[in-house]
Amino acid sequence: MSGSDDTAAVVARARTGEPKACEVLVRRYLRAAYAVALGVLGSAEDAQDVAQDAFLVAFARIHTCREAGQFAGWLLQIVRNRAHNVAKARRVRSQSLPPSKTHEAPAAERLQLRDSLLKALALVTEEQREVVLLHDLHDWTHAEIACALGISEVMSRQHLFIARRTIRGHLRTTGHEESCDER
Amino acid sequence: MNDDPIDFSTLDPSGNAEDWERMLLALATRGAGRVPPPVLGDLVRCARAVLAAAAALAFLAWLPGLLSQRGERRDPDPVLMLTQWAARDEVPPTAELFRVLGGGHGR
Repeated sequence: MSGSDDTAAVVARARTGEPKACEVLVRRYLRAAYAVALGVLGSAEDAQDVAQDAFLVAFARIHTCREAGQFAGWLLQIVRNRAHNVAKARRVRSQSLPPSKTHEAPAAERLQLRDSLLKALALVTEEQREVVLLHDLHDWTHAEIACALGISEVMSRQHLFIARRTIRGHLRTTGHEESCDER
Repeated sequence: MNDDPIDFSTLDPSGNAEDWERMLLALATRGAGRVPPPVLGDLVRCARAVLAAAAALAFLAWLPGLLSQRGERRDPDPVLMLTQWAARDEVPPTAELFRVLGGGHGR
């Protein structure tokens, strides 16, 4: 059974309100929803709220998902729309995060690195952000990304290449080269 | 060029596994509660088809009216008729004049 067929079967079960099927969908796509929301909002906290909110909306409208096998693309479009609405309403900007003033504590280091990453992400296009986050944060393949975002695999690779180059360039200027190294 | 993935772990929401798992289960439970009952779902799914059928019926009901209006528009053009009468130096009967100029219909 292909991934799309499997998803279609799970969506069909979720349409009946089966909690287990809903849980499978949440486990499978919540991180991707978060990545897309983060790509739009540039704020991890807001992205989490929007991802969860979008999931609830998706479940309430699950009968309108015409191609159950394309659930990911349909869900991510809901996430994108809601994230744009939130961005418009709150005028969220990643640059509004105050930079950390201390460098000693590990938590502060992490916050600073997080801030740098968010600023670096803001330098690339929304689609490039979605691709690099889905690929590098959530380990999605280019095939999965292409299917969910409605782009070609070649385009997905191009977006990833440009996004990584831009983000690494920014991290180098902020002294976070170590986060560019291999994991 | 470095082709390795960028380390986004500081942005990973599942960093705290316990919190993440709790949130995930709560979301799934709330989500399952939001799924409309199957009958309502079927109605929602059929809504487009029903809407299309209603639009088609409305169009069919409106079509005869449209055609009859077109028929009415076959009345002579007043400007053309007046020009023709003037060119022919013709004085039309009063009833014909009213009919052409629409005086009898209050237009």
